[in-house]
Amino acid sequence: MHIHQLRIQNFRNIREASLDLTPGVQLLIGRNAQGKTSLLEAVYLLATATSHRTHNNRELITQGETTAFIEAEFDRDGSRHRLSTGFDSKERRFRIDEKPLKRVSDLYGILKAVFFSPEDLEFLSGGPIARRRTMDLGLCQQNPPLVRVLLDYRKALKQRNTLLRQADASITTRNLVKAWNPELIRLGTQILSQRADYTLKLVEKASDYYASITGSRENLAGVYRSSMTHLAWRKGGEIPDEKDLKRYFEIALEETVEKDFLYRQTHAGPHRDDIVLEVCGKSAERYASQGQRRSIVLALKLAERDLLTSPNDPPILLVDDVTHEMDMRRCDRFLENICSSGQVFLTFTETESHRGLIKNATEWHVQDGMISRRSG
Amino acid sequence: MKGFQNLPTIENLITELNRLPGIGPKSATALAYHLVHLPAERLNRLAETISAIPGKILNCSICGNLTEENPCRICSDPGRDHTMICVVEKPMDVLSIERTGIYRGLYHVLGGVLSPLDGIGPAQIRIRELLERLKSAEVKEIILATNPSIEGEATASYLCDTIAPLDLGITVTRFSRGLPVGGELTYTDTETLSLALQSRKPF
Repeated sequence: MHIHQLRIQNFRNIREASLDLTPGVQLLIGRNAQGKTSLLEAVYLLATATSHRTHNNRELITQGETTAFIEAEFDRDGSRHRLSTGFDSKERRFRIDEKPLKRVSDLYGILKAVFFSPEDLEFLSGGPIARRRTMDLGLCQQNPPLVRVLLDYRKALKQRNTLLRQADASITTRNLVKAWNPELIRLGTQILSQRADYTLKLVEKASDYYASITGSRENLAGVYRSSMTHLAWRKGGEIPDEKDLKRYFEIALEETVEKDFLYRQTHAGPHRDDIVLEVCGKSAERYASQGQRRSIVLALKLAERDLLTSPNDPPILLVDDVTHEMDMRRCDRFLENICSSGQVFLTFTETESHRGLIKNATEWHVQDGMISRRSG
Repeated sequence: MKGFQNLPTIENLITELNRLPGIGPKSATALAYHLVHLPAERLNRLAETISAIPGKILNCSICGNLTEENPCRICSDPGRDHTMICVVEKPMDVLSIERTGIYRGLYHVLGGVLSPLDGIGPAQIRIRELLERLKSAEVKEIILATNPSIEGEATASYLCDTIAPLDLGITVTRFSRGLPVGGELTYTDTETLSLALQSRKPF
């Protein structure tokens, strides 16, 4: 999968850009705050309708303008497609091959991308919300139908919680709250079983990468911790089938109902799950050093890349400023790995020395929102 | 609407038409200009038909469906099976099921579904009326035909949990979910397909 042509209009500080791209490595070179990250953000927005920096459309549009536009012409499975998005402060629309997408949930899986960003460290410091978000972004690209399931689940949960917030705990109210359980269970078990399965596969691959980054001196393991009756699965552990999960979920909702009324929110379900990573048996969230944290998120991202690779067709990699604080030897290995991957967008500041490690790259100069091809 | 300052009648007409579901500003404008060209006689007939609605159309006091006579024709038809009640969200659902011609029982129109986010609880839809009917009539089966949406499912689930403890000896059934007739597997969305697969039955 690779982009031939990328067009950007009024996106952050990029007023107008049109790039003819090659299938390999694209080096984006420029000083800070010139538009390198914005270009990566634009591609990721096209792939997932989300930005790692903001939920607010307004922030994405160039100051003084009202609408922004991003379009990519890309190759997938031997045929060429055109995907675009246009948006103002209120609305965002997507088109694939000139046809409007009815729902944003239909977008996932069309253009697959993995974003390596300094903010990835939030996977360890940002709490369960950041971890579930990272998991779901990868999982939804791999398994697009799950997007609708997640949205429906969120809606059912919101309905149930609204009821809990306004209700007394009378019999009628209890029945009313319970009425939302079957849908929560039907949707929630799908999320749970697929997310747990994805997590275990991801951690397994990530632990291989982590071993190679650290020269096998340290090992990385992970647990998927369900909020239901304290179920947890690690590598090799079998995730129960959906029938059993449904039963567990039903029991969990019954067990926590008093707590639900007390705190006025739903306590059991995949919206309360977490992924716990361990380095050499100790919680990474609590004990890992800065250096270890960087290696962990890098390993997780490389694993995500592998899981999103359909046979011989890797996703597009968007690598923002992550080599910055690596030592030369580790950086060399990392760059070698990702540059053999397919199409890769890499940002570099002018002065960085690692740049010399990359061969056969197309170089782009990014200055003040203008992007131009560098010759030689 | 701007630009109609000298045509307040048309401006009002467009505003009213625009408030109807499925009619945007452009369609409203086109319709308004079309109406202007109709002969007075047709316009009067249209106006009279619309203004007759409030006096003539009412909700059946038994099932809640739209009717011009109370109780409605279905509720007062002795030829229909009075032991079955099919519970639907809105009057148009009755129309759809009647078109199949295979259902001979009665209906109960809820007039909505449970949705706490929209402030709709059991008191806002005709649930109490339904329970009253079940206590007095000789109902043997109740078919829950709310839509297979999240809210429709929750409403069905609530009704089922409310009716069961009354111990009235009533069978509660639910429309099954599955593949559309004449559809192709290739074009069926994953969720429908997986539900159809889960609710498969011996052939």
